[in-house]
Amino acid sequence: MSESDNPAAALRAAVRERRMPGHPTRRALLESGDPALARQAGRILKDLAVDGERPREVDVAVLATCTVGPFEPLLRAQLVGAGLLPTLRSADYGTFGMTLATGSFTRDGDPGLVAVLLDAGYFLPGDFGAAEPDVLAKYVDARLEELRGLLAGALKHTAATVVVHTVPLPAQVRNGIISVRARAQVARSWYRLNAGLLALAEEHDQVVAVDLVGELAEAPVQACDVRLHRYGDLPYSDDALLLLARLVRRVAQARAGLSRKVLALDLDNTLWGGVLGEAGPQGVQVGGLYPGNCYTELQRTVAGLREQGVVLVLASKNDRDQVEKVLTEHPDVLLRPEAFSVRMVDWSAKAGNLRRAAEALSLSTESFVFMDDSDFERAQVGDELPEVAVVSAAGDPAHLVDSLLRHGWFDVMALTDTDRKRPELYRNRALRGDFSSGFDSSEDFLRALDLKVEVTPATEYTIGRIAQLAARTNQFNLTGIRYDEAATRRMSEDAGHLVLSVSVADRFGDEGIVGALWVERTDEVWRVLNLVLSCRVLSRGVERAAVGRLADLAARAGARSVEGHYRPSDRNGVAADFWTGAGFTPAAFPQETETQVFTLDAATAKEIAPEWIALNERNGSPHE
Amino acid sequence: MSETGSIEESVREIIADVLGADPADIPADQALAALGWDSMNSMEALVRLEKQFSVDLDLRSFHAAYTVTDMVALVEKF
Repeated sequence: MSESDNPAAALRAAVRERRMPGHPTRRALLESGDPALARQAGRILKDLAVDGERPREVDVAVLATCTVGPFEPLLRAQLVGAGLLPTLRSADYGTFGMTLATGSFTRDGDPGLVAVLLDAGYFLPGDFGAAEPDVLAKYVDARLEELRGLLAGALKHTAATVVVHTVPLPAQVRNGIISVRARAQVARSWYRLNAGLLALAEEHDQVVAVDLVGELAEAPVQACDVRLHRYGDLPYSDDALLLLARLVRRVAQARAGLSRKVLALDLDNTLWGGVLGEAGPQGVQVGGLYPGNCYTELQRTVAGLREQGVVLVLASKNDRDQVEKVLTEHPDVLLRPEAFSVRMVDWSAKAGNLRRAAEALSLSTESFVFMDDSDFERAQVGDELPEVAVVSAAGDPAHLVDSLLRHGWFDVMALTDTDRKRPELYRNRALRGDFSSGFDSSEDFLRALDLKVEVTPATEYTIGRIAQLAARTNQFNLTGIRYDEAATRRMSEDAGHLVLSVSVADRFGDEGIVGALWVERTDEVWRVLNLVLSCRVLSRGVERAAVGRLADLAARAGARSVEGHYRPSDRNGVAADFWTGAGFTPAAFPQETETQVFTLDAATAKEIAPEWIALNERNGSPHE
Repeated sequence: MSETGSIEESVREIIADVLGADPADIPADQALAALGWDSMNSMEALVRLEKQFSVDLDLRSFHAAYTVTDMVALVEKF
């Protein structure tokens, strides 16, 4: 029996062996819609501890206006499914208002994520006249205002990301009002409440709002089991709580930088209907009526993902020329050849092709999603590359779009300009791979690249991207401190700190912001609290150019030295020798920390930057 | 009779799952209260029993069921 057939046994084994459950089990947890399995899984995983290489950890506090009940195990199972190692703590029953008022979500320390569980009872008056919809509407408005105030206060005391959700109006309330006009009025005030809850995310960077009501509308589940509501103040059914746990997990996943970046697609019976080799270029189904319109919708959806920064890879066993012909000439095809950053059209095994595509893009197969209708191809990829998320395109083509989108593989916290340009960047990136094989030495290659690096203070427009880099960068991440958007903004506005973004361009294109530095500055010393650089620009000297620029700025400001920090993690060994390589001298270990400290005389700054890089001088104030 | 046997087996399995115990450790006439049965896991068992047997139980009679045997009787009434 395979791991995914009996997740409970596989989870018990993982807990016993103190390791993360394997990819198939985690995928089964993520994709299962069975709350009984999820509750059981969540219970087993309560004891999960991990030795050796540690996965990304997430510290979650749950705060509820009702009984938290099964929400905690359900959320735990989802988070582990996403590859996170969670610590979950629920606030005591009945302490919702108090916890928000004090802003202290747990007894020991600030959590990274707060999941707020809201129910209709919180917003409804205890008894209301069904004949007076105005009174009810006013009460609901007032409760929302109260929550808004409490939340704003709480956010001053925490740096956590707070997730709130929309709340369904119970049918018992709606149907208790017999005037159809008054009923519409109450429904309208309820929609206003939900709009207000969603708006909290626009009012505060730290707040994320998810639409539980929207999920419930399309899921074949009951929102509430009235018996459990009356008996145990459990206003949501297990099915509804599982939907919410998934929404919160998608936020946690995006926040931890675990979103997927690449979508690899099959052609025959996935992007179009029929088999090209049999039906011929005019015979494939796309456009027109069913089933052609299903494939058109999928192509439209995929094009939309690409516009939002998802890199597309074609993985098809077909005749290359024939595929080019259809993609270029077929009037109903929406995804033209250039939409794909890499096209792997041949007769080799798909797992190998995906691996080669990952190499060409300098991305890990961990960031891949693969969609194919063939059981054989999906199994082959799933076996060889278990880290790839495999999506089935089998069955009725009307389900294609939903199958692709349902699990939120590509969710990100916010789109940045770099996200939108990514497919183009990576197409250039794949071209650059070809280019580099034609040079005698790497220095010749680097010189021919015509690298330009720009180091500038963070601005309102770049803070989002900088925080995203902090969340996503594992390898060239010198201290592992992941400053989020709020912390980065605070530091960029503070006179004692400086946040710099690093952008790179070369003859193939503009890579955009690929790195960042968080610096504490005093009159004497500028201290680099963390430096991260995307692995796609590593081994080009960009990191040294960036630190050279920083040291130059420090020297001009009159500081005597620059201090660099390095804290080893399981993943950042590639950066271990960075500071000494750049001419810094190791200092004695301070106190009893694992952080190593290096210093450099600010005056010698100029010598650090490699000669093949042109440093773009631009002196901006942090608020330009 | 054999049907009752398989119902009992399923009921016992669900209860064991919910309690995190081995089905073999739950005698049919053992009072569940002695095994860590509380309001939260009893609600979980209720939902699972209803789904498994496609029944809709009255919470009052469910609360009056103290053993596996009682619960089998409850499910069989449908």
